Amino acid sequence: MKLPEQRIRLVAADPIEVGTRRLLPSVLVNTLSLQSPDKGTFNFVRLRPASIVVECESSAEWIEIPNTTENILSTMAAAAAGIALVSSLIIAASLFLNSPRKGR
Amino acid sequence: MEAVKALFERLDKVPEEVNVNAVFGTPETIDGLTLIPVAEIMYGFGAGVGSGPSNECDEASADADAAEGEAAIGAGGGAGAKARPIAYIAVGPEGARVQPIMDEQKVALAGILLGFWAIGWVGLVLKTLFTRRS
Repeated sequence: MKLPEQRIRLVAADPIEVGTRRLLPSVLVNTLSLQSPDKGTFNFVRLRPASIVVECESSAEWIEIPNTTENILSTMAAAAAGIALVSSLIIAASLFLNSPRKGR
Repeated sequence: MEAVKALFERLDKVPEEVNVNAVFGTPETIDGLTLIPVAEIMYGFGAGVGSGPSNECDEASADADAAEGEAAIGAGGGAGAKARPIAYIAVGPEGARVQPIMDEQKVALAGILLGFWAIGWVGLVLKTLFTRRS
């Protein structure tokens, strides 16, 4: 069985001119595809803005574009996993300490 | 069948032709402040094809159909796309800054789920700690 092929690329978009400033955006392109000419094909593409470089006449500044929602959801998922792990350890320790020992 | 293969070949080339400029919207200037919307874009599509004998009940006639090139062909496909604003870039006299846009509904739902999850685990721990073994 053929597995889907994943490709991740960082692509520069067209520069945006705003007054004297020039913005150079970059986009993260994540492509998941499976191509089988005899059976079928599927493609999934995700375009996520990565950062912009703001160029002035004298200087340049790099600014990251954060995905706030995704970051918060990731933190919540990590917290949920942490709660489950700690709770499981406490339950396991409690059951181990309260278990009847051999020879008693 | 050749037309379906040609369609697949055409679809396979679409990701290579992705226009990354769609992520950044058209700049709009309001009171000397230029705003550029930034979105996350996702899209996908799939298609499949299959063929078989035109009459499955009669193997003899199915073999004959296959030999004559009269096998039945079925094909289907689907596609979808989604765009979500994640930030906007504000360019003013003092410089450029990125202002993130949070999906409050999604975060609130996730927070409620996390609350129930935490309450469930704490309840299970308390039940284990305070239940005496018989």
